[in-house]
Amino acid sequence: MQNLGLDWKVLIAQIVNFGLLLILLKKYLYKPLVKAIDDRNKKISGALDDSKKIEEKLKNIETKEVELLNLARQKARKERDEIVDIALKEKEKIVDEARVSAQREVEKGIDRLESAQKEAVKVLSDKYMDEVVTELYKRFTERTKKNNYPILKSLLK
Amino acid sequence: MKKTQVYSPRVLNSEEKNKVSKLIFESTGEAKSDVSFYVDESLIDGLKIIYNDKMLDLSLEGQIKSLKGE
Repeated sequence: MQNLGLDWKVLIAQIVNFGLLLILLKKYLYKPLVKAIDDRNKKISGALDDSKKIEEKLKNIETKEVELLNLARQKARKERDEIVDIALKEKEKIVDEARVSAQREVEKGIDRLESAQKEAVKVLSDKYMDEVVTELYKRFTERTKKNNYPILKSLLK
Repeated sequence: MKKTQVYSPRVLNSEEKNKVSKLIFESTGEAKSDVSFYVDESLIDGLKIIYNDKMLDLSLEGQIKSLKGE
């Protein structure tokens, strides 16, 4: 060994020094570094897990949202159909009532017109018929005498 | 024999009376009936015959009255 230029004492001291350095490095550098890397890995892994969970939750939420939207649409459509149906029935009812009411009014109007017409005819008849008849008597009495009773002549042909 | 009354606006001569009797016969189918003739100027023209409680109004007065609705 001495022929190789190595001193046992120095070698042993260097080995001891290196061992000490290894121990110190392991204790104060390697372990905390590995621990820090593990912690970081764990954190990343946890974050990834959380991310996956969140994604699943988001998917669930989206699915539920779609279902809820569909349900809401169906409900809204059903309610709209019901409202439209009720409105149509109400409209038909109102139109029918209006038609019946209008018909009644027309009938009343016709009755009133007929009554007014009859009343007018009666009033006119009462007022003028006596005058007309008197005038006819007067005119025909003179005329028939002049013409020597044409109806009588015609009957006794 | 049934009685018949005939009203005219003027006096009828015998020929006219015969024609009236003939007219009554044609209307009633009875050959003989006791016909009395009367003058009623209110008839204006035509004849009014009352036979067996039925009246045949052929007068102008009747036509005018029908206008009045009587």
